[in-house]
Amino acid sequence: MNSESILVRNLRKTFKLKLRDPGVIGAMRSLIKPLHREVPAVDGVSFTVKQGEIVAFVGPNGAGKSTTIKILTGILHPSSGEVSVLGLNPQSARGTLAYKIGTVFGQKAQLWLHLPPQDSFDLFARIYAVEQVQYRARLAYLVDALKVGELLNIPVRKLSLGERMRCEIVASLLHSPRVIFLDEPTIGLDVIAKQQIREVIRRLNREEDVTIFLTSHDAGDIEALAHRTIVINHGTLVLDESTENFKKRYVQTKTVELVLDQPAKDFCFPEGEVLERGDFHLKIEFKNSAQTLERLFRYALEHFTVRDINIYEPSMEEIIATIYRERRNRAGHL
Amino acid sequence: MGASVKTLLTYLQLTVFILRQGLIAAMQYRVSFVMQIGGMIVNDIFWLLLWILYFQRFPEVNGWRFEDSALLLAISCTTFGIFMFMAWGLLDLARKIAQGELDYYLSMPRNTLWHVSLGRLALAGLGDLLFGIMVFLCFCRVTWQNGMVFVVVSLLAAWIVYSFVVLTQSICFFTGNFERAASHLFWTLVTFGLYPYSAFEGLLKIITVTLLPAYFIYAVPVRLVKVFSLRGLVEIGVFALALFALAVFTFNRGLRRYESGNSLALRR
Repeated sequence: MNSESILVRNLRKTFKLKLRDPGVIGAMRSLIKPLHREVPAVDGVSFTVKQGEIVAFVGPNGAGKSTTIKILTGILHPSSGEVSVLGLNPQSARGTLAYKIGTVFGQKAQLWLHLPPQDSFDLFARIYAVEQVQYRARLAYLVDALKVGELLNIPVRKLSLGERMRCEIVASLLHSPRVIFLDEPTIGLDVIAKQQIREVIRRLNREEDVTIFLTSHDAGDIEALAHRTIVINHGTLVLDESTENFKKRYVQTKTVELVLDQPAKDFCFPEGEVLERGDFHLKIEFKNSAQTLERLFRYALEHFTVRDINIYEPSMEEIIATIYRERRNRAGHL
Repeated sequence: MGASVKTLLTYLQLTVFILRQGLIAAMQYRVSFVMQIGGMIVNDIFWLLLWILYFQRFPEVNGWRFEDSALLLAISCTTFGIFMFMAWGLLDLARKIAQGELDYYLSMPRNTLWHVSLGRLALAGLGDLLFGIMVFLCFCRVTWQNGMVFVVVSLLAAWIVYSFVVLTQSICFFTGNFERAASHLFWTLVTFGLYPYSAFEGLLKIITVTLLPAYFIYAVPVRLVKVFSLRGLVEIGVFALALFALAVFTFNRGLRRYESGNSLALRR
């Protein structure tokens, strides 16, 4: 972990938004003299990522995460600022850079829908000019790691979301990229599929020293993978520190929602604060610790018949509100 | 030079591989596969029958005979067959630009325009291509020389169609919404394939040499296959090259203005 894989300095990206008054007159006016407004999606962002680092780039919807990733991969052109990935400018050297990076967009597919994944993998190997021997070995490694051996000859349209996503990841990693950009890679997946994907990312980072740049709404992804967490909101960086510190300072509570067979009024767990209590369900918030969670489950299962359990962590909006509140308080003290 | 030839060969190999994959994908649906190719051939047969019936009644109109119409039909079917089979994805380019769906192609290491072109395959194009060749062989005067000219001008005309579509679809980068207009322009160009080359005079000639390059897609190729002239071949070659350069320049310029989207997308 020494040289820089990613360098972003004072990055700005604005989009042009067409403005129009409502109604027919507004439409006519817009036709004759259209009005536009520049909307900043990324506004003066700077950071660096070292080789072999796993960085979580998080923020609420519309914060500028995907725009930043798309600039880093050369898909979008920045309005201003300096960007470098593996020493290359992603815009002017997009083609060269594409051989060295991998991208996984959780909401976008690259596999051919009507063909089995194997056919798409063969195509990607050719597109990325991977030698046949190297390709076979790499494919075998990824197929084993992501447990997709049985899916290779089934048309993609017949795969479940989790199966498809695992195959998408295989396709993105066939050319052994040095930096991997993952935009919501576990969106909509079940727990097992998430675990498999996280394990592969961890393995690649550990064994091949691959740099990982990850955006996710899933706190589990961040917790399980990232060395460092960068928080972005309204296009500006609001926090950049180790994931351990981030968790300690901002992911302090957990909320558990229980649905019981017995009346919820009898539920008494002194370590947590009851946020909501219905006839047969309740929501309890407590300090984030595995031991407390275990004690809560033990108490619930010993004294009640539990129909359903949901566990929540603070939303990104809540975390950001806490960060701002903390900053205001600090400024007030100075 | 050596590197350029190697790159070209790599792209040719990749093109063949992608077309092969596309054909395999299309064959998953047997009925649709046969209907698309057969349907286009049946459609083209109706045009041929129309000309046969028309010229039985009026054997010559302003020096235009059945052989000329057959040749025009052969060239237009071959030209659009090649385009449809190899670059049908382009007809979806404006929509992809407007909806921010170029991300997949832009994240790949190969040429974006090449990749988008091969993004969708129209099997009907294969029907068109087969029919065009068949009409040329069965209804036109075939010699080795005009056979070769037929192949060359059909390829050049397909290249012009390709560049025209890239250019018109790329306007979407600058206007934000040009999908329908670009589509109309393409189909208007197709319609010109029904006109005898004697129609390309006056104002129509000005339009078909500039805005809609129908003159170079239909009139010049038909004339060259009938009576070959080097000057005519150079004319169409230079036009194809210039239009291609303009189209690629516009597309690359447009890419700088591309605004990605966040909609869910699947590859077909």
